[in-house]
Amino acid sequence: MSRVWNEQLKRWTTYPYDLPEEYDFQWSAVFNINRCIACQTCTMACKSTWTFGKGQEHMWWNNVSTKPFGDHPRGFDAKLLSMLPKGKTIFEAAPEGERVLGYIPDDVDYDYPNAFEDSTCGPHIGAGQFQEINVSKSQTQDKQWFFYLQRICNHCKKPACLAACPRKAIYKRKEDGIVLIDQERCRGYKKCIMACPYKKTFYNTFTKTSQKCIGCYPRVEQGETTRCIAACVGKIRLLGNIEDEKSPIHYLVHKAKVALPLYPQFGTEPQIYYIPPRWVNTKFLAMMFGNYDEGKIKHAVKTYMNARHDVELLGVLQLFGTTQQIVGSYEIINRSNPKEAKVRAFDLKGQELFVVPIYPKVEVHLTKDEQLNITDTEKLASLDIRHDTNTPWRNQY
Amino acid sequence: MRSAKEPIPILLLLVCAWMIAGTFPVPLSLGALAATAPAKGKQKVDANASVKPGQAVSSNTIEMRQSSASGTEVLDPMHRSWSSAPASSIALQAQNVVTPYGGGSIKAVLVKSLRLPSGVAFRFEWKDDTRDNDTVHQTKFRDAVAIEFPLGTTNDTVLAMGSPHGPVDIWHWKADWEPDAPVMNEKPYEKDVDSPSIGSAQSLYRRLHVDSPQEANTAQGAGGPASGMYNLFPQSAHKSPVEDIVAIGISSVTTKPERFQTLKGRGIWRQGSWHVAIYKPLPDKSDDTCPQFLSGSSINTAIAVWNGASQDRNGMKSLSNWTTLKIR
Repeated sequence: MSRVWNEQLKRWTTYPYDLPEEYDFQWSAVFNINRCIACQTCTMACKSTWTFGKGQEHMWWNNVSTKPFGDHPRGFDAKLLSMLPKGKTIFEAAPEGERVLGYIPDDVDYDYPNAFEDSTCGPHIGAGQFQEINVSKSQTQDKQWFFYLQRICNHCKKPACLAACPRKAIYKRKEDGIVLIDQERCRGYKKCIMACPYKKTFYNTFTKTSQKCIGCYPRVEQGETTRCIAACVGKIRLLGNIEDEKSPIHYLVHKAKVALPLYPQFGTEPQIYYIPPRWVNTKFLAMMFGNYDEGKIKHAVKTYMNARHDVELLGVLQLFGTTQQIVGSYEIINRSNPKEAKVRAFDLKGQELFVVPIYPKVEVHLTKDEQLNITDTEKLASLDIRHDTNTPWRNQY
Repeated sequence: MRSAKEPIPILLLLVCAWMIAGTFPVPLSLGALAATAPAKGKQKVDANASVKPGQAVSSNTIEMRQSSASGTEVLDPMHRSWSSAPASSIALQAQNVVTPYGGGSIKAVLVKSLRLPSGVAFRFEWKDDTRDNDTVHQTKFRDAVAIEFPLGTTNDTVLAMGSPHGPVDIWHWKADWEPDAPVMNEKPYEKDVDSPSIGSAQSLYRRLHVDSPQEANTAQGAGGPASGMYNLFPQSAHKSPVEDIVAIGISSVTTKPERFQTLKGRGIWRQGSWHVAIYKPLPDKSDDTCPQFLSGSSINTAIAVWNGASQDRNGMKSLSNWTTLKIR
């Protein structure tokens, strides 16, 4: 066992192997939960690219589930949380003779990938009553709430799958931090499936080997984003290199602190970061994204809700889903003049990708139904659209 | 351990018999218990017939006797040619040297060995209440047995998978590589878990949504998930249930190239015991990936047994110490 520093938990933890202190490139992404509509386009983009083969029917390298009740495999997180002593990582809590604390899901756990879709959580709202939604405050927990959780392999900095493999058939690539299973060396022992706290390694029942999300490495090698990110209709995802201080991912996670890792308490340092949903119970979010620290959630939600007044954050949010290239760095132009402010994105080689306005000009087409004589001129005119949404340019269309 | 547990059912039976029939002859009820072992016609000639699998009479040598039997004959673990071979009961322990620890549910394995004109053969027999040959399901693991030999000149290397200076040769029989093991269906719509099995192999398919063309599903075919790879696992039909492996230390197990995969085997599970025969055609003298089994010599060997029902796999196994193989 080696002593390793866990940046997300801000403490020394144990890991079966020595790890490099720094990576040149760490594949990482930010998912904005607030914008996801669970259309599953990402899921199908991944499925049709990588897991359409025999023995892969139960594999969803990408899945979008409805929290708090749903996920795939069924209840994986609730089960591990109930097994894990608070304050310990899955490596520290490993039973005698094992390297990682975990379990193997049963067949049936894989069979209903979208169970509990759109199921809400919260007190009963009686007949004739309606849910009040208040968006004026920095965070409002809705009475009844649910949210969509988009999950792929976290390509962890301390991968539990890698730690558990008795054959060292799993490796983390130096050049981009992508975690892969060598299909030539894998003998289907399922120790990675037992160990992965996110249950994102899968046993192929036909090849008798384990397989997992490959981070779309053939695309990443070309400087392109993954299939799930490129296909995202809601433009909720952004891929990048968190180790690079110029990267938008680094900005969102380390500077704005608006995006948080999923279940950091497991101790694997997952590299998918989530902008937490505004309308959800803070305590619940703290359990999922904050290592039980509600302060982190409150800060993230408050920062996100204030994006309209934060030219850099709003600029970075414009980078989501705007290109299929990986955005390596960006710059904010005319930072002090919001009307002229723009964000310029560069690819990993420093070539310019695009320039988009942060507060684009908005044309409002007022309509009047002559027959019914209905207009809402006064109300629309009073709206300051620039200040009403953090994605203002959608009003152009 | 086992002998400490056995008196209880015997005593219970005796008490019951005494209560029901009064003066019931004791030898009869003991004989009825012993009859649960597989009955064999010519066991009287077997020099070690008194050693039953699982019995804690351990030995640290295995004797390889000369035999005129053919390879095909010894591949039947129930063939009479095996009755001439002396049996050694090899004690097994749990593996607790390297994580993950495991094994220990199989206490002993009965080993026989023959040197044929055409090659060498081993026969393994051990008690296992469940026949685990299904690796189609998520939480299922296979029963297996393996025998290890040091390679090269040292004849003495690290028991746990050898070392870079002392590689080991491992012959690994797997229950799910036998032709009658469950496999995934070719046509999942037509057959699933609830349907009766078709053919010799039991077909299994979970109730899952499948919308991809089945022709895209050949794992090792063009574009399949294991295409261009050399891995014997992604095959629906295995040429042999025995894999020939070389290792130079922990985590280094490597399947030998295709041209060295000459091992044959046959495993039969009957009445709570596995009976497995492994046959190796006599290796080429220049082949240094396999011991030469020279007559009159002794080499080290070790045996491991995996119990699928106990979730055994990889290093999670019941294994023996170094055992001397005396080649007659």
